Amino acid sequence: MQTDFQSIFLNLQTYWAKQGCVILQPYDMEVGAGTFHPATTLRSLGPDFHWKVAYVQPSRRPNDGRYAENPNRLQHYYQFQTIIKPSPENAQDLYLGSLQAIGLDVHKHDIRFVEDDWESPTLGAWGLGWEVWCDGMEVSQFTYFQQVGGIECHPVPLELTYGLERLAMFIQEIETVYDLDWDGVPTHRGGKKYGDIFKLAEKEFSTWNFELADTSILFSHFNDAETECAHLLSVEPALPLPAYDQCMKASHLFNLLDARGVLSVTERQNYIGRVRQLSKGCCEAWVAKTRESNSE
Amino acid sequence: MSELFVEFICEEIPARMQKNAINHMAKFLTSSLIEAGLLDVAFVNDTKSAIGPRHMAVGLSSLRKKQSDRVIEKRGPKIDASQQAIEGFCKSNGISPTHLVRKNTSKGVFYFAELKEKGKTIKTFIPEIIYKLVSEFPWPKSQRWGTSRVSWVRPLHYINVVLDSEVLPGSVDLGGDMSINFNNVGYGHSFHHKDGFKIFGFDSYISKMRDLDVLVDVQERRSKILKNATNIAEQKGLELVGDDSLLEEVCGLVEYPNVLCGEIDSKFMCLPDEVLVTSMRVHQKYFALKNKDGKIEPYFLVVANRKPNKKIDSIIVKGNERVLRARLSDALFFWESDQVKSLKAHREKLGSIMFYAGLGQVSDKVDRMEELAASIAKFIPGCSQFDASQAASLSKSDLVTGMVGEFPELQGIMGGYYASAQSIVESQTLAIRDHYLPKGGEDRLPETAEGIVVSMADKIDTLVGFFAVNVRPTGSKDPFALRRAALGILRMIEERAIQIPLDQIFEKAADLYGFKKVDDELATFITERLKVRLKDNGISYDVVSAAIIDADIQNIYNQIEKVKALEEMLKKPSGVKLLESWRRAANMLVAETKKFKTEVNSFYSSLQFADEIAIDESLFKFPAEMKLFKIVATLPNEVGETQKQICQTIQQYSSLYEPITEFFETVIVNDNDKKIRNNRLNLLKIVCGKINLIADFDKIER
Repeated sequence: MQTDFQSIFLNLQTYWAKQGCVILQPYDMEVGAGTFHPATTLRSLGPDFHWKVAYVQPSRRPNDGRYAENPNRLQHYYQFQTIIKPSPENAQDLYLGSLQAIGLDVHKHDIRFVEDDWESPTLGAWGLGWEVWCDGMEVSQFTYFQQVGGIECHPVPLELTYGLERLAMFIQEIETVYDLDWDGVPTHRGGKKYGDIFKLAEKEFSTWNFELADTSILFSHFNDAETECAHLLSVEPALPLPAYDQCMKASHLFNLLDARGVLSVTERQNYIGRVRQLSKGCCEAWVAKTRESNSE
Repeated sequence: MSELFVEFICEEIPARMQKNAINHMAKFLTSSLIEAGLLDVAFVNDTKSAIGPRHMAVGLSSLRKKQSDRVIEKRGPKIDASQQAIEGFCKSNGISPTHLVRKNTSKGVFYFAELKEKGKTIKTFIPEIIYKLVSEFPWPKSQRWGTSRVSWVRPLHYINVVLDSEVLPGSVDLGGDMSINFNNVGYGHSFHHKDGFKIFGFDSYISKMRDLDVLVDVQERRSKILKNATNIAEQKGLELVGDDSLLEEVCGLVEYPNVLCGEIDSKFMCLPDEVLVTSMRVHQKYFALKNKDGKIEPYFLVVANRKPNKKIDSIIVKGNERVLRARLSDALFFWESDQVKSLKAHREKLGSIMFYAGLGQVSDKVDRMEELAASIAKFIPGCSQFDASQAASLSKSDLVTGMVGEFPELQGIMGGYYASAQSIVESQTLAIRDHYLPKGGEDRLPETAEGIVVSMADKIDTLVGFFAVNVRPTGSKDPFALRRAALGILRMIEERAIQIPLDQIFEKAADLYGFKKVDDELATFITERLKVRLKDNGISYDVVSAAIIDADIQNIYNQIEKVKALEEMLKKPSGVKLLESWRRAANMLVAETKKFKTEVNSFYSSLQFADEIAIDESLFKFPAEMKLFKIVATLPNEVGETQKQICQTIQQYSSLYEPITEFFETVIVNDNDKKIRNNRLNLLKIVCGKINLIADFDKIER
């Protein structure tokens, strides 16, 4: 079985497509995790009783940047995300099947489900589940959502999040992310490694995130996004989808400000609260609107 | 008699919740059956239980098949009620008026219906209690799944209910169109066996599960892990680093423990032992091995969750070694990069960490501690004021290092290592390392005098600060561990025999914050904690309240010694004699004080001025008066500092017994001549005032 980076996510996609998932492409905005994608956040709440989706989501965590000097920390990395609502009876077996599908034979490894409750203060969301360990390596997050945007999820969605770089490093048995074989093509025939594609980006973005980003511009962008979000929620009828875009924007701007180290502890709490207000508003408007159209 | 077996099979239960969960399940089933009259209290210890990550099972035996029939009395209307009401009552209970019984109650005479209630069979009763057990289970955190409305710790898949080797029909409704039918099919290790097996009872279930590679009994898993781990250590001529809480956690993560040994890359062995052990335990849940000298050796033990298999085991070990290398690379990176700067340079970054709103940044705290340590050091014998102060100034620098950012539990310890690496003198290094100690009632104290000083400075600064901004422990809530800080101070004072005027030190601490005064409640809080600690250590509560003066923190050590001396002496004849003497004198004074309120000042307030009371020896009429007066005059006015001295004082004071006895046998206090009477009362006042120097004997109850 091919274990290069792109084969891993192609195989995951194929596997989940066979399980009846809608295969989506990444959302075209900067987000901190696959959970922010409206296909997870909003669709966890409605309107569909059944919602199955899988997608890759590039995720940005400005604070985790290390100028390409750390073997396993990145400010930009890939998550593979699967949502299945309602959570199926055989959730764990389906998940183990997906590991099998990317060349991780669960019968030859030590797989463990270790308690890890998930909470996103900016999304007003929480769930229970585990981090899944394979021979001591955390390869996925496995979460049964209970609330999103402060609203109870019913039915309960199952969220599976795979950190693709970690998983691939484990499968390829290498210790530096930049050495990951991306395409399975030998180097002398033009094959690419992860470092060939992303090393420079990691350096440049680390410099921008930590040193150069103009904080006064970031502050004003944050305020703009907040204002626009509130505006879109106040119009009649409200537009929760474009409003939610602004919420995602605000969230990422907050992460950038945090990386720049310009938020004190109390300010930080305050900004998290502001983003949570936006996401709550979007989720509530989304539920209200989709309920209406359902009953029409 | 019947036997019942109940098993829940669900997705992995968090390790920390398993113990309480199985205890609850066993207790709930046992007590429900006892309450229902289906189980005799005598058999309560026959309940068996077992829990693993995915299984929780309880077995009960000696159950009755049916509840006995009961007669229930139901009160109806009063006998003078309308006919209509009486008939209505009969109709609703399905009896004829001839069967009504008249009974007297405190509220009058009423009609009663005696209703026969048929006993339920165990078969109809059990499904009811299982539904109750599931829907009301006290998980610390629980979740819904699928469309369920009922929650469980993680999705619940099967409920096996076996009564006398057969499945008991029934089901649990989870809401949202989900339900679980009772079954009798067990499942072994999910990675090794897919097919189920028929369950007959608890014992055969446990052994069948063992055959299918699940050790459901946690004790069995624990002893297997310990045995295997110890064996591996012995083979290498090493010892296992014991860690009960890790063992407990690992037991909750595996169904079939398989202890494997991996190697740590030698390039990481330059890391401090604490870093190696913490990194392995916190991130990976590995055990460490040490040599005879206690030094960590380059191995780790991982407990895998499957049957041993040479080929697979080596894959698992390799994978774990790789993960550990990544973890330790991070640690090594921190270890090296943290040392690029001195602790003094790190100190400058403490301004970015807030200590608490209204109490400044951590940098401010360190500045205060530096000065406070100098004040405290004066009272600690053999302490270098300079070193204590220097150590305090560097004590929090490690908070901004990468290593402590990653492993907060290494605070202090890393500071000690970094100090030592930059050749800071040992007395400062050890003080930095130890200043968070003691972390509880059992933890060790700082090793050196300087360590004691920095620890006290830290804790006193915290207490004075939080009380000033009105943050104090309430009930079970103590988020800033202020009780623990107080306990730490008290333990150091007691165990290192430190005589320190805490009131002055607190004032100094408040002054350093810029507060006008120390919060009024702090001193009381300290003596309250002192009382709790003394009682916890087995000293009688009446002795504690007699000897401890509320809010008096001038010399805590002296108070502790007084308590111990009093506790000891009250077990001896001399202590009992002294108590007896006090009682006779005090009872007389109280009685007389009440009688002549206007003439004699209130009894207790007068004791404070006992030494100013004038006695007119010429008014003495009996030899016993003079005798008592002379003996009182010989007794010391200083009680003493140490337990030994105070015991001696009590011994000396007990010589009052004979003269007091003689006094009361021969003298009548209440003389017609006021002057004589008052002179006698004053003599008794002096006696009580003296005894009161030791403790408030009025509070002793024995």
